[in-house]
Amino acid sequence: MSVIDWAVLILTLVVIVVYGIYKSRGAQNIQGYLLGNQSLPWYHVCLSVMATQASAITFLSAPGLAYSSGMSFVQFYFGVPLAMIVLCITFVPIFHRLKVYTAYEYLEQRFDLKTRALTAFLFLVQRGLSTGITIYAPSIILSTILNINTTYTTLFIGSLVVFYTVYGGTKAVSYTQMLQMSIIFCGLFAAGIMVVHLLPADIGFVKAINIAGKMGRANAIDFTFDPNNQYTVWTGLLGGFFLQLSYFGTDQSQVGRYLSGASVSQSRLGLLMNGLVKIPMQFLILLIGVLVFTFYQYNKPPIFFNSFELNKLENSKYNPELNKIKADYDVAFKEKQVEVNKMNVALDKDDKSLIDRQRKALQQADEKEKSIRKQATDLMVKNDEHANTKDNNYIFLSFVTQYLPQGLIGLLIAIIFLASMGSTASALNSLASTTVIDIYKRLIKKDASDHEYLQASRLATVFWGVICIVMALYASKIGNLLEAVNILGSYIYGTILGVFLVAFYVRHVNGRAVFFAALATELVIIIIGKLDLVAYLWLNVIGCLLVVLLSVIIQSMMKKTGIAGEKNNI
Amino acid sequence: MAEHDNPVPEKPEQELPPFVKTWKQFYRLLIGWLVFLILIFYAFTKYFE
Repeated sequence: MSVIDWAVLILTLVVIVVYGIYKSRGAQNIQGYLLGNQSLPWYHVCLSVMATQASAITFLSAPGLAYSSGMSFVQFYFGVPLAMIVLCITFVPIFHRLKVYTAYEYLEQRFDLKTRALTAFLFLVQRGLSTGITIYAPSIILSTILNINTTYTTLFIGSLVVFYTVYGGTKAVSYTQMLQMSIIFCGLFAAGIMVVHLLPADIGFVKAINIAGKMGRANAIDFTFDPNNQYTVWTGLLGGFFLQLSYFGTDQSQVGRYLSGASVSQSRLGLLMNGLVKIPMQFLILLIGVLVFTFYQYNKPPIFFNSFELNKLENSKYNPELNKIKADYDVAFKEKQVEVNKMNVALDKDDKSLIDRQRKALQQADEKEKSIRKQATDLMVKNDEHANTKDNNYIFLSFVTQYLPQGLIGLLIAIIFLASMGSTASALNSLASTTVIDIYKRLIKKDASDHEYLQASRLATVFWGVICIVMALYASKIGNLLEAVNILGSYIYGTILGVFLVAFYVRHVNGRAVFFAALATELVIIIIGKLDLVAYLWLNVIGCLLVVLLSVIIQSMMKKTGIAGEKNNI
Repeated sequence: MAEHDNPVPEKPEQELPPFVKTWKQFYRLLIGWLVFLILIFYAFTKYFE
């Protein structure tokens, strides 16, 4: 990185951190610290909700996913608009009316303490683990730039985020997220323009997508019904709907964002606008990955995008073998480039038979290149059995640092930092809210002063920060980070959502029935997940429906045996 | 009902959404937008595959 890039990066980070601290001043009570005094307008809610979901992981992993397997991941977000509607009709008015701090508070009012404690516990486990991954993602950046192990970079980033989050409450988080999202949109736009600009003169925007499309990278929609296919329209609409509804409706990191809205209408509008913008935004991020893919058809990509792992191999006794593999890789790339040029000509002529022939030739060349890359990763494992052989998360980063102009590199890297800081701050804030409101205040110290709860919230933020940093240190062994977070969520979200749906819509079921139904469901979900019986998005659907079904069955059994408890009507 | 130290006064909930007359219409608009996006992406996939 040049001096200009470092200056842009440092300046942006300093401005954001100072802005966050400045905005957090005056958060003297627990209500202000955790809910931002419920004073924010809809556009604040919208951008805050988006920034919480679109972390650095989104920015790093999504283009890498598009590069390696195409755009089908966009379907994952098809459930967002539907989930937003259900949230606006049911969740938002109830949470606002009851003036809860956390979503789980409502469950005690509707069911009982143990159901509230169980869901709060599941949330703390899920969010605690996934926030570790969220912290790890930007640490990859420093690792690549400075060429040092991710352990040190994870510690640095994690500490910075914890410091910032402990200082700033919900209001500061929301204000900085609004600024962050504005910068992210600008950065994405600039990156897209630059990729197209860097393509050969005869390759325009449309042709770049056309070439990538012929190599299977423009596959945005898949209507097949294969239950093992992770990303289809159906998994997106159904599985995605349940996952998003659960995420936005029951995950405190999101509930906390829209609870800070000034009114039901402001919260609603913020969520609905998110439903309008989310899918096109994700499509554009993936499209950048597709354009980067086409770019690398004309510019030789590194044999492995993670330069840290590659350097390790180059400095080992296996370097002569690696050099041989690199030579084969160079030949394979040149051969593929010939086929790409032929495809370009075929596209110009609009010759369908020639395009079909070239498509097959390109696929063969692509496979050959992949097999050579596999030889290199096998060698990495031979050299170090703990080597990280997944490089999806490094693809976009590698492109940014090698090909973008000075200044823009610093800005894009700053954006990744900011995105990560925003989502991590939300997560730590919500973990602290749940720990203090649902555990400490409810179970440990009921009658403390407001100041004590505020101090407890800050301490809880530090505690979770440390836990998340430790988790982040283990995240390097997980393949694609974005998928890892979603898979982890799918193990738990369905169950929590089921509990909330029973609370809202199945009025005759009481706390005991739903509690045991949730426990049994979680067990079943873990078994199904471990046996890998279905694509992970379906776990949300199965988990949710199973809780509802089992709750009704257990309730009727309890009624027959005469042990049905009292129900609340909230 | 949970007790909080600083309860927030109830805010009026009669605000209407922008562009349309009722929240129901906004929900329909969002569903229409989703269908439109799926169709556009399908056309995108078919055109470039």
